[in-house]
Amino acid sequence: MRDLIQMLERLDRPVDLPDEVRASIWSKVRAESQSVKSQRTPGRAGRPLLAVAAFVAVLAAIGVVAFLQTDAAEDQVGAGPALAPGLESLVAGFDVTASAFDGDAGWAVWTDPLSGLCIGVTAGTDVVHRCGPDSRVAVAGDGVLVVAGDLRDDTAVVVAEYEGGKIVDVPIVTPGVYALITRDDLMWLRGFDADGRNTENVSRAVLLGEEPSGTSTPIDPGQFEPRAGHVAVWTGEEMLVIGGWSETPYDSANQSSIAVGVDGSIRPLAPPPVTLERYPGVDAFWTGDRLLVVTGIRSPLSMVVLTYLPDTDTWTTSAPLPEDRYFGGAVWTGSELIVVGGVMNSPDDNEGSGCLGYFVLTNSRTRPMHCPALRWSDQMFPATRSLDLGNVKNTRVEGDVDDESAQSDCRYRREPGPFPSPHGDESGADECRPCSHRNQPRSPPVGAVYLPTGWWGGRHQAGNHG
Amino acid sequence: MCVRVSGVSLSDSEAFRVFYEDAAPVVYGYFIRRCGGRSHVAEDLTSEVFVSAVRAVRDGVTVDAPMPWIITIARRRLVDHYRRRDGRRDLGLDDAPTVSVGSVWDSPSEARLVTALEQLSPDHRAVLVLRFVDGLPVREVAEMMGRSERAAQSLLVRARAALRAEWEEVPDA
Repeated sequence: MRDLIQMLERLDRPVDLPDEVRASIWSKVRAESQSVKSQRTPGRAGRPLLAVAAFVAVLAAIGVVAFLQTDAAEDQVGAGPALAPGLESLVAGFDVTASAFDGDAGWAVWTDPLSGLCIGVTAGTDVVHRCGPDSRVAVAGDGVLVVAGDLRDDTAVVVAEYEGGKIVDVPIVTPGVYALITRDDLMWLRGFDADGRNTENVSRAVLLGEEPSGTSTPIDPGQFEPRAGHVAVWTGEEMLVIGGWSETPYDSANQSSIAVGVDGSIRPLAPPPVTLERYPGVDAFWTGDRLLVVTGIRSPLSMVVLTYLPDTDTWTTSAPLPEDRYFGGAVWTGSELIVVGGVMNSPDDNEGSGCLGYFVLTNSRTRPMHCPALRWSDQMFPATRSLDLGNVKNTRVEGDVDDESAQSDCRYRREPGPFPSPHGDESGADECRPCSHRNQPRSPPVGAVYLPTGWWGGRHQAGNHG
Repeated sequence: MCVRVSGVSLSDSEAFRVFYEDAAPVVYGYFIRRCGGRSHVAEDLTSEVFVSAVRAVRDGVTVDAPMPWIITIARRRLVDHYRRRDGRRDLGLDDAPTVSVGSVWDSPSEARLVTALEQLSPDHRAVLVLRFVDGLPVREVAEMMGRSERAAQSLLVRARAALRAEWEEVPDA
């Protein structure tokens, strides 16, 4: 045995780092290193410096605009997302339904739109987890992964996995759950139970930094309005919960906005200046000092960006998006809000640019990037999903091109539970139907992943499943 | 608060670049032989380590000795990689280790050893690497793996036996 141990000990010796590898690694780290100063979240003591920092950030943003505009010229359509060899065939036809990233490590949930089979994929290492079509992932610290909720499989669990390999099983399986990771806790808000009834409370999980017990601490149900479809962000101190709807189909996402502390305390936030509509979808992002809410409004159907400042408990409405679209998705890249996809109010405009960059700091847009055309959705909600995957932020567009030839391949799956169908009042659950009854023909749904420095890719056609 | 190298704050992006130039070969070298000679894995893990470092700097982490600090991050990533990779291997998705002698391995025996090491469970592999390749004392191995010192010692004994058994199974190159 001693000879083996001695060989092991000799493995620790220097190697050469090829220049191209050194450069490749640095290119992945560069975006983070360049934002070291500008993205640091100031503590309370540092807040008096915010005004100066904001001015500097505006100047920096101007430089970033020029930088990104240069990079935008290199946008292109290319191969699919980086999955391990062999995994591509496993998830062929699946949709990416959720994702999260921590630095260069990313996690994605791939879901078969017809069977409901779902796997979680860890980018680079591609560990496969059991999960559900409504699963979410969140990452913090060194490799925390949360896969939450399964609408279709009673055996599913909510799983949090972190660096030590310890597993936290959180005893809830419910649609509408929204989970995120704080520094120390897994927090979630319950939505509906499997029968469509409101669940009673907000809960939080055990400290992730300690030996998990699998228990949770309920928060006073009297303070919380049950909801689903809400969005939430973690500010570093609180979980800001925006919107959500009751069980009424097509109800507006008009539940009151709240802040939840790790101690279970709840305080109300000032109401947003516009009604957050469920149907056009809502996305929320925390930038480090403010909350951005990208929401649809219904009359007329369009999208708007709202900004919430926790320090003053105030909302502002940013300039309307220059293109009058709705159903779009959005993602915050760290310096820019990229709005992707959606549908123009004028049918004649549906061939227009598919995405645009929006700089919150300068309230300006970048030139349209090369990306897929606007699409109708074949999914329930939202029409276009925004994803946050990998060391660069990715945005996925899903939906289907308005293509009559593919009509027969188009199917959707009715979700059980409280979620209504966008196609009318249809009873029954868990069924697949062709889309020919719709007003318009549809092509198979497609998905795409956009890398700001790379390519669009990852088309997944439901028609592959017959 | 910030990470400093010789009095230079790493919160400055250029200073971080300088630190990267020094530390990247060390971190990459740390991973390459501990990951079966797979250069793409070593590259990915090295990227993850530096991105984590950048984030730590951004969060105001204070570190007196950056190089040991970055290696500690690398160790945690490695253990995490072993554990994640185990699920991937179960699916038959993993590629084989690089066994050609010359660029990475000194001898056929070394390549055979790495192949045997790759067959072990994640925890067996991790405890052997941390203890004998990294040269950590058992107490630090235990801390790194989230176990008590006694449990780590017991794991080490079992891991050695497992390695010996796998060594016998792997054909001589």
